[in-house]
Amino acid sequence: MLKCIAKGLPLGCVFLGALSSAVGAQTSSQFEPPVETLGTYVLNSGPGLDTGCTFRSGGPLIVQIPVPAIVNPMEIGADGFLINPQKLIDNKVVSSEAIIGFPVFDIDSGANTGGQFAPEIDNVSFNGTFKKVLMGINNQWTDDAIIVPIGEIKFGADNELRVDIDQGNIGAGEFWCMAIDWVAIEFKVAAPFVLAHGIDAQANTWDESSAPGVLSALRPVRPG
Amino acid sequence: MMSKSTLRLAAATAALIGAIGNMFPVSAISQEPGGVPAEPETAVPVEGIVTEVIGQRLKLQLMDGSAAWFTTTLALTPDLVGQGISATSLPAGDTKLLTDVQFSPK
Repeated sequence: MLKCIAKGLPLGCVFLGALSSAVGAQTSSQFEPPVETLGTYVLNSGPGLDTGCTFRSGGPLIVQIPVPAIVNPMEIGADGFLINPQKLIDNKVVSSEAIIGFPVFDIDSGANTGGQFAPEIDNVSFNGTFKKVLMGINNQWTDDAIIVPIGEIKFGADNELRVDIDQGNIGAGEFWCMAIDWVAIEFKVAAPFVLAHGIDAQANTWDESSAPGVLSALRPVRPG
Repeated sequence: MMSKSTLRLAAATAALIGAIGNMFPVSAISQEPGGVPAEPETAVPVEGIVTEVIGQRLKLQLMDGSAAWFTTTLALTPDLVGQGISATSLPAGDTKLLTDVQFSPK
């Protein structure tokens, strides 16, 4: 790991978390997942993904997406949530929201059933909070997404995307199936500052008199 | 990263296309997971053996030797596996619904 000298950062030090491996990735839809980088985390294989069209009794589909602890661990609570997300937003360390993308298959949300049974109602939850009912197209993939506050993202922990399938027909039958291809969590995060000095460095190396403009360039992310 | 406006536009487009696509009767567009188009909306008598039960779904070994999944409106129990069944099958959503279900002991 790089030694971080970002004393000007409100978090003390930001470091790159280990990005998850793309080995074993499987893309079922025509939608390619984004490239994983700092602030973009992708899960393209594993439980809950590429299941084939799955009915209610085969679910719920639960996908656990790890997000590394890319901010100072002191800013992360025991549950993985940011302790004070607004502070990090104000200091431009992280964006206020994250986009969670997930292509879904065969969502018959507007099906005309003639009143015999309900159209497809698939409830999406993120980290235990209901977000929306899926909308889509019969027998086709839909590139869906939800937007969540950054305070609902767990860092250094798994984040759970859950789909409860065909909730409009519980007890009446299992009429609708669906699948998820991959899940990506995207948000903006400040890249770490690394100031590398030479062998002639002293305590005042980065002061304005010795290195004009260096620390002032970092001010946008310093505490106000 | 997608902007919010792009996201909203994509979602609205998907919803519109979905609404248009779903104007057709569901039986005309329903399809099983394997990609085999559902049969026209006609009731078909079904006879076979229950080989699997999950939730309200049954997998049947049919008299012609093929196997297929169906849904029912019944509360099913695992002890139905191995029992004979006769029913009427009708395309419904992404599957076929069994009505007039009668089980026969093992």
